[in-house]
Amino acid sequence: MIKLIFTACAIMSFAIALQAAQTDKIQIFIDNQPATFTPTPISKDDVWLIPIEPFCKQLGLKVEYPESTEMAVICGGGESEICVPINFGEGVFSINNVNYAKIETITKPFGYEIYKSSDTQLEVIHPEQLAPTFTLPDLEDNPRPLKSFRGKKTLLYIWGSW
Amino acid sequence: MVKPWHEKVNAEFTTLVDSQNILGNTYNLKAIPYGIMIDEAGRLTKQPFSINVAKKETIKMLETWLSDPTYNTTLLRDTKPLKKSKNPRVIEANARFQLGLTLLKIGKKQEAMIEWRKALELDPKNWLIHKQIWAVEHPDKFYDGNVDYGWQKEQLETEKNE
Repeated sequence: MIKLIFTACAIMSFAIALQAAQTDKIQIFIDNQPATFTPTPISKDDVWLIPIEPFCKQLGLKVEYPESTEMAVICGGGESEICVPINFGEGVFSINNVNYAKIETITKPFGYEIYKSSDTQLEVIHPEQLAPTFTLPDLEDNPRPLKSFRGKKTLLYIWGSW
Repeated sequence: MVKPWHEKVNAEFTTLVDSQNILGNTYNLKAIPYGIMIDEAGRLTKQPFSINVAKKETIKMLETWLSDPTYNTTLLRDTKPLKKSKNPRVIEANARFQLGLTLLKIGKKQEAMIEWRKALELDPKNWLIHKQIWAVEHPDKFYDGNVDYGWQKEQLETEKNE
């Protein structure tokens, strides 16, 4: 009986330690380079929030707060520039006078992809870096989008019977 | 051919069928076989390259890519986004090649051949078009067991002299 209780405890403490490691720190990479932010990203309800201004600056995006509105407007995207409004309380969270947002809230409209390379590492990938996408049928005629191979290194070997 | 690195990653290969030159269009290919390396995050790791898996150096390079994560990062530094050709002759050749593939699909073989011949005139170094014409004109040299490369060599000489 004593032995049984001890085993159960050991497993629980392991689980707590694991959770702490997950939410402790995150390293974000932009264009394959480790990026640092002041202030640092914070974890809230298991979601990472990033300080909007330094993050946008590193992505080459502009942030404005139009007068008498409750929103941040983020603009950029190269030749085909777009502007994306994000409301305070919905996408923008003000904590200790710093405006934070979820990483995807900022990156998604501009076509960036987020790749979680480990529990503590996120890569922000510029749309131009991504391999152009396509969907082709496999030998059983099932459509296979290129994206379905994500998560593994993939070699496309393009050949013909000629 | 692919066995050494197949076993290394424990991968199962998927074969996709591209009857409409979708890959040729997406990755601006003018010949095959071609290799395209895409990493876990979906990034184009290297410019599409003419691949020869019979070469030891090619296999070695692919093995390094699979086993050494720093090599992927090194490759990414030199990778540029894919750009479509701006040469009007090449653009027209591609459009006619595509039209020909559609015509062939709906059973208009002769009309397809006319488009492909015009396409090849505009872009004489496009081997996808060249071999497509041969394969439709002389199916016996392509689809009866082995591909007759001796015939292709002779055919090229004949065309040069015409």
